Amino acid sequence: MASSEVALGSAKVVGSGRSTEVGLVELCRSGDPQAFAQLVSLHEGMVFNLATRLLGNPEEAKDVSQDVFLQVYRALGRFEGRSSLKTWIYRICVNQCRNRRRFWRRRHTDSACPLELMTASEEAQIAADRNEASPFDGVARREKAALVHRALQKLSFDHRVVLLMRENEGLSCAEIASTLGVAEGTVKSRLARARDAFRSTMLRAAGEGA
Amino acid sequence: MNCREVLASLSAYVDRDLSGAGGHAIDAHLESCAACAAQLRGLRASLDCLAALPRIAPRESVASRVLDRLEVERRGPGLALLFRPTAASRPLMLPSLVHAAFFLVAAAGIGFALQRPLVGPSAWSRVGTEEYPEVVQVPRVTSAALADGLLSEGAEGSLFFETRLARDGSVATVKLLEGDASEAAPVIEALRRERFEPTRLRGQPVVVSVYRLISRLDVTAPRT
Ligand SMILES: [Zn+2]
Repeated sequence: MASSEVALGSAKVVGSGRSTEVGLVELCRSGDPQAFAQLVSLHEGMVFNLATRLLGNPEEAKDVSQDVFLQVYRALGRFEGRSSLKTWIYRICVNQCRNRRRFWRRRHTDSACPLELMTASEEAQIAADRNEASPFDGVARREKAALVHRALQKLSFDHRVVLLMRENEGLSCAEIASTLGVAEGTVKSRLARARDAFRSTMLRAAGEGA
Repeated sequence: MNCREVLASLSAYVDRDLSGAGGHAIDAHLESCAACAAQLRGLRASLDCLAALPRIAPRESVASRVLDRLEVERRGPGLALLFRPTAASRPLMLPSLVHAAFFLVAAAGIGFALQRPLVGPSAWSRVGTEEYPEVVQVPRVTSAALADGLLSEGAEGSLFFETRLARDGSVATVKLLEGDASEAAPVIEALRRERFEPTRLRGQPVVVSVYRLISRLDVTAPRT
């Protein structure tokens, strides 16, 4: 009789936190599926969140997240450890999102891709995570998050990238520079322009919403 | 320092990324210039909004999807059956293996799969264009026609079907995408008699494709 041991690909994370990053990468390179599952579990949250905000669509973000880690798996042999694993994965994620965006734009004249596509259960999940004090808090927070999300979608892709990495993911300008493969000064000036664009967009959005 | 210079440095100022003297010069300007102070407040407020943006977590683990995908690639393209624990038996999307088709996993609890023919309860559906399908909830079946016993005792392997639903939820076409056509005949007959709840996307009734894997699983001892 078969037991549930037949189960393949159940991504149980074992021994979390003990492996160092280098050790984990080495285990992955040796073809250890559990190690790779652990690596994905450690970083899937940030990849999915960033992809959702960059693309505006959680369903597409799910596909991108999958593709990001498939690329990570295949390119792990070329990872030199000069940047951190985190910034390396961010870089793959940004590139995948940029490619998706191009592909999508060629087929759709409307570049806006609203969060309304987010399913009810996902919204419910967010609400549950935040443990809202009152239903009104929940509505107010969701409205505000939707407003911010819409404002973000109006910016250019490059501006969105630096803003999300800096303000939402909390990366330093040096980490962003390493992720994007540009000079730190470039990140700072791009960030200044992106912040200015975002502030004006928020201002307009707030005016329209009132 | 004039207003233009101050506004150009606000981003660095927010990051405390200015030399001591530069920072003090802006402090001094902001104390006396209400317009620039208002700009700073606006900037800080909008950045706070970004920081407070809720993090969106995937509903299902990305890791298990990636591992499944790698497993399928190891076995080569084609229809691969994956056994997963019940809790994880969710549809799987493998967009690049076969054009415009979604693969899905219909393995329920292994014990269940062992005992009797499994008529896959899970299904995946899509709407939208071929290149950019939108995934929707699988519409509910209002009159089921599937039953155990549709597959003959000797039937092995899996049948992969696409059912295309009209806007009113009636079945327009049933197509066997993969599997033995002679075994599939009675199942196709049954699938044609099904009826679904109409699906709406943003208020509009839409045509939906439902993909289902129907299999009789004869599982022998696990690999060691
Ligand atoms: Zn001023």
